Amino acid sequence: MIGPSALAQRERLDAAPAGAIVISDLSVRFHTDAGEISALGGVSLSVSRGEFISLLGPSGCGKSTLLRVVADLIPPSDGAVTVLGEPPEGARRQRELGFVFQDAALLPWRTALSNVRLPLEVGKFAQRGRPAAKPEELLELVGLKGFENALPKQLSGGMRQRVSIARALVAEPSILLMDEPFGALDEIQRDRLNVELLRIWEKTGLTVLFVTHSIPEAVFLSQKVVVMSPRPGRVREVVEIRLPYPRHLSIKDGPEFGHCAARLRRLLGEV
Amino acid sequence: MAVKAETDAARSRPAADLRRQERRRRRIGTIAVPAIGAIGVLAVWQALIAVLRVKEYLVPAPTAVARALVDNWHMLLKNAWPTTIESLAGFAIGNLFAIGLAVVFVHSKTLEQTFYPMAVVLRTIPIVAVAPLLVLLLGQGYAPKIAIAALISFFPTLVNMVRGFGSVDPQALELMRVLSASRREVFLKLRLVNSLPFLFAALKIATGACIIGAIVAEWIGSDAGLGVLVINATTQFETPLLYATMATASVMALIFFGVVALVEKLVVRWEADEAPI
Repeated sequence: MIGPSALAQRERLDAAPAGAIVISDLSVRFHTDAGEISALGGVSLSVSRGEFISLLGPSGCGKSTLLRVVADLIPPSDGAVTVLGEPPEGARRQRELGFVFQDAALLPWRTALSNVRLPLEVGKFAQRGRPAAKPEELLELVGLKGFENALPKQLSGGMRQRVSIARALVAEPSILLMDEPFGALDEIQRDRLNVELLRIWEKTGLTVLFVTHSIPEAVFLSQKVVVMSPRPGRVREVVEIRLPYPRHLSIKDGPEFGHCAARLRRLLGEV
Repeated sequence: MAVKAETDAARSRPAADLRRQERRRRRIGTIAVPAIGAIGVLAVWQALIAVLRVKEYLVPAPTAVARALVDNWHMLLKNAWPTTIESLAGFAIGNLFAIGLAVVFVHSKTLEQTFYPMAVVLRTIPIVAVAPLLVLLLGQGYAPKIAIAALISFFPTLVNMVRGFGSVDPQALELMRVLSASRREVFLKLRLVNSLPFLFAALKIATGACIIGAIVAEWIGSDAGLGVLVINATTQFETPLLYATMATASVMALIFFGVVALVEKLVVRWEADEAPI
C-alpha cells in the first residue's frame, strides 16, 4: 500500500531532471610516500542527461581525477557518486560509459577499424545484448573513411584521436567522458575536432563530460563550464554559456564568446 | 572532413615514394659501406702478415684461413651439425621456460617477488663456471650442452618478457578496465602482444648466446662439435683451422640471427622505428 506522501514523492522524483551524473560531496585522497594528498575536497555536481559540460581548471585541480571517479577507475574516499542512478561500477559494467584518453591510447598493433572494434570483443559484450554501432560507420562518422586498415603509426595525432572517439562510441554508451582529448593537437586540428565533436553530440544526444585546460575550447563546446580550483580540487563556480547551437567557429569572434572567455579567465585568475 | 583527410593522403603519396627511395638508398648504404670496410680490414691484415712475416701458427693470413675453410669444409660441416642441434634445442628450451616463467610472474606478484631477484642473481654467475658442473651432472652426451645453451638463452628472455608484459601503456590498462575486460583478456589482447618486440629483442641476443653456450660446453667434454675442433686445432697449432672454425660458428650465428630478425619483421609490423633495447 503506497501512502499519498510516498506517491507525491514519487511524482517529484519523476519531475526532477533525469540526472545522468550526480556527485555529492566527493573527496578523493591518495596515499603516497610523501603522505596523504587530497586531490578532491568536497565536490558536488549534477549533470543532466544530454548535457555537454566541461571541467576547466589549472593542472592539479583534480579534474582528471573527477572524471576517473565517474568512470570507476578511481574509488571515492568520501561522498557519493551515482551514474544513471547507480554506482559508477554498475554503469561501467553496463557499458554506459565511453572514455576518450589524452593520448588516444590506441593499440599500436591493431588497425584503425580493429581498434574501434575492441570494445565489442572484450568484457562479455556479446552476451549483454546491447546495441552496437557498426565500426565502419563510426569511422565514417569521424571522417576516416578509407583509413580502416591503417595502423596508428600511419595516422596523424588528430586522426588517432578520431579513431579513439569512434572506439568510445562503438558500444553506444549514453555518457562520454573525455580527458583533455585534444590537448596534444595544434590549434587548427583542435578547432576542427571541436566542430566535429559538437556535430556528433547533437546527432547522438550523448551526455558529455569534457576535461580541458583551454578556455576557448570550454566556451566553444559547452553548455556549462565547471571552473575548478586546485589543492584540493573544488568547484569554484559553474558558468552557463548561453551561445546557441549549432555553433560554428565564427562565434569565437563574437562579443558573447569574448565575455564568457573573459569571465572564465577572471575566475581562473582568482583561483 | 572525409574528403579533407583523403586529399591529405593523396598529397602525401609522392612524399611516401620519396621516403621509400630514400630508405632504399640508405639500405644500400648500410650494406655497401660495411662491406667496403670489411674488405679493407682483410686487405690490411693480409698486408701486415706479409710485411711483418708473422708466423702462421700465431696469426694466419686471411688467405690461409680461406684455404683451411676449403680444405676442411667436410669436417667443419660434420662438426657444425651437433653444435647446431645443441644450440637450437637449448634455444627452444631456454626461451620456452623463460616465457613460461614470465607468464607465471605476470599472474602472481608473490611468485615474482619471491623468484625474480633469485633469477637476476643467478644470471650473474658466469656460464663458463657452471658448465663443468652440468657436465658432471649430465654426462658427456647432448644433454649438458643443451642445458648450458638453454641456460644462457633463458635469462635475457626472462628479463625482457617480464619487462614486456609489465610496460603496458597505463591508459590502455585504464581503457581495458572501462571496458570491463577480464584479466585473461587484458593478458591476451594487451600484455602478450605488447611483449612481442621485447621477446624478439631477447631472442636476437639468444641466437648468438646459445651457440656460445654449446661451444663452451663442448670444450669441457665432447667428441664432436665446433668446440672440440677449437680445442684440437689449438693444441695442434693448426691455427688456420682454428680461425676457419671460428668463421663457421660465426656464419651459424649470423644465419640464426637473420632467421629470427626475419620472423620479427613479419610479426612485429606496428613498431614505428626500432624495437626496444
